[in-house]
Amino acid sequence: MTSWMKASAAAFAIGFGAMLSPPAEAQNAPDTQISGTISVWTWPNNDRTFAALLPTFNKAYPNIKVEVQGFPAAKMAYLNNLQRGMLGGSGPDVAMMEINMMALLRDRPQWEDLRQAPYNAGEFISNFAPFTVANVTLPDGKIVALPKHTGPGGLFYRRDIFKEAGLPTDPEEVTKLLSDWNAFIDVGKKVAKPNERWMLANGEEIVRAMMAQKGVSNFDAEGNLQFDNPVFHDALEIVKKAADAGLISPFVAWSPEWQGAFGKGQIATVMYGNWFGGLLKRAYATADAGKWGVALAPASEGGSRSFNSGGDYIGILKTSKNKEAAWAFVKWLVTDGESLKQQYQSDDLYPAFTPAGSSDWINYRDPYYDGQNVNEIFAPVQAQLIPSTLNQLDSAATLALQTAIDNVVKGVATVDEALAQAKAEVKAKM
Amino acid sequence: MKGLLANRERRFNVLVTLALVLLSVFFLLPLYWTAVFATRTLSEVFQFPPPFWFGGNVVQNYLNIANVYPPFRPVWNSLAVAVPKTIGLVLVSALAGYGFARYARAPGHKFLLVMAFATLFFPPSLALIPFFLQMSWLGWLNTFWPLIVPTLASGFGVIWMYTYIGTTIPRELYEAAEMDGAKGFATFFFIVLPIIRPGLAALSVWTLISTWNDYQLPLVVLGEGTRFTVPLALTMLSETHYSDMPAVMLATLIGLVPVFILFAFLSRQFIAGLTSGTVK
Repeated sequence: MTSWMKASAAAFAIGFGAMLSPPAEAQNAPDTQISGTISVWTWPNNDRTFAALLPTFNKAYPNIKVEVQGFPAAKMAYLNNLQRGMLGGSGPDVAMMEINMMALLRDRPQWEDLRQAPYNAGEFISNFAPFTVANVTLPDGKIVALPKHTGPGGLFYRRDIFKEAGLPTDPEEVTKLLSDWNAFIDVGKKVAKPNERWMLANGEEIVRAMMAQKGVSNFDAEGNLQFDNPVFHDALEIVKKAADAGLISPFVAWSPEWQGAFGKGQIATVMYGNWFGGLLKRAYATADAGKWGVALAPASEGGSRSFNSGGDYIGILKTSKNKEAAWAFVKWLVTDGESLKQQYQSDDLYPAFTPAGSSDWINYRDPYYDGQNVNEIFAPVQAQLIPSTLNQLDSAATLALQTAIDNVVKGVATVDEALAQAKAEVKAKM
Repeated sequence: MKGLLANRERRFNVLVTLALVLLSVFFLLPLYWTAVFATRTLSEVFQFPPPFWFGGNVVQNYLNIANVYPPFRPVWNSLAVAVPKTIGLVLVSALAGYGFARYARAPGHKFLLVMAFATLFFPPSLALIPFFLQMSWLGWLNTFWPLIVPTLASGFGVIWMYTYIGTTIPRELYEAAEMDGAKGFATFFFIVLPIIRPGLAALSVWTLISTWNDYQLPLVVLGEGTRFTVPLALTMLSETHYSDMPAVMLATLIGLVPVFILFAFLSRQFIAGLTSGTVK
């Protein structure tokens, strides 16, 4: 190697390393000359996100052809197809897992162990948000997937509605104003108008946030149902108070009328992961740029204001015939700066890869939020999250809890009755 | 007296017509509304009250579909499955039904007929996993074969044709054909088939529509978006948390066109089949 080649190679490595990923990354980056075709299974809209990323990916890996296939996540179609694919050995090379599918999928022996060579994911796994690492690591240390993105939660609020009610609109002041859940209800009373406008779309948001803030999941690590934990009782009491004060809309979460309510200015605040902003921008409230802001969710007793909502993971199947190329894609997807930037800026997918959190492309003044840098809210939330415990019966527990919330909101059951019923419902399935 | 009767008859006719008009409005309104939504924007669809007249967004909605998949590709895929399946199923069912109806004294007749009946009592999803593994073993996954070949043997089709042929074709006809020297297959193709045309049409329409609407089997078998049939392709327009409603509506309409054409083609025979079944 001539000296200039060495020099330019070094400059290249330093330049690229600094630009795209931390030095630890560059060391075991796969060879960019790998070739072959790999299939990747995911669900809409992720399939389109991937399709949009491929030209950028192919600049780094020109000889890898990626075939993306989306299956609907609804009615578990994706989950069932992947399980069948694993069973029949006809699955893809690379597959995604949504956080709610993790408990059902991650123990399957068909996942490649990414801890082993040539992947050596153990060397850099600590660069991902700790709770996501917990989710992909099995008790025996096997790493089944890499964390792709998370859903650090915040409270999205309508600045114009707050202003109209004579309330502060600056994110910091709103965070201060909504210091705890009782303050949330007091503010809600100033904002809500009967049959016209509500503080919150669904009581479920309160319960989920309070559970996460207290670090309580549906089940504990041993699989015991946690509905007796005081947090469920407390959360439902808050929901009841809010409902009695007329703060909760009658719309069913994710229904068309619920989706429409955001664009019509009928909902003053909403608590979900950062990705909810993407839905507001691109689907529910496209005409409302500048009207929304993001604050921290009210704090539970103990002071935590962090919660997570959603997120997904991506792994390689043992049946893959081109694991090298599959790994190149997976690793690039979840660690490369260009990849993460594009996913964040066009689809509001928050990177699980923590070094990305300090990048310029994530810390910018977003006109949709009236120039607010919302990462100032989401980055600390991600850092302070308490890992939750995933269980195979989570969907049954969530459904039972939703029924309990609805019954409390409608006033057809007391908090104790609703919880007892939910407990019985889940126990019947255990 | 005669005038009064005519009057009463006319009044009755008016009432029946009115009831039928109301009934067809009841069935056509959702279709009309689908068409209206297909021409609107997403935010217009979410308005309350929802729009009742056509809007101007149809081109954009079409482009939104084209952005996800070529809008007519699923229609061709559905046709590639539904047409061979329908023709094959009807032929197999008619032949089997003819065999059962004509050769009632053949050994094993009762056993085979009961077996054909018995298949009606098993929900198809029961065998989904074994079916999937079998198709995987044959190397047929991600092709149209599993949607066509195994489905040709239809318990419902066989029983339907057995009953239809049994009640439509008098035994004397077989005897007459035999006297004229026609063997089993010749009798089937030249005597039986022309007579049972309405029954064939009814079975065709039923098969065609149920195949067109089938979601579960294609979802299990087809792993590649380029082969998706109409119902599967529609799901590609929805995301986890929201659907591009106008695009879904437009894609639904596009997917309906061939069914309408084929139905119109077969409907004359179909109606004859419904009304003439047992009389002959």
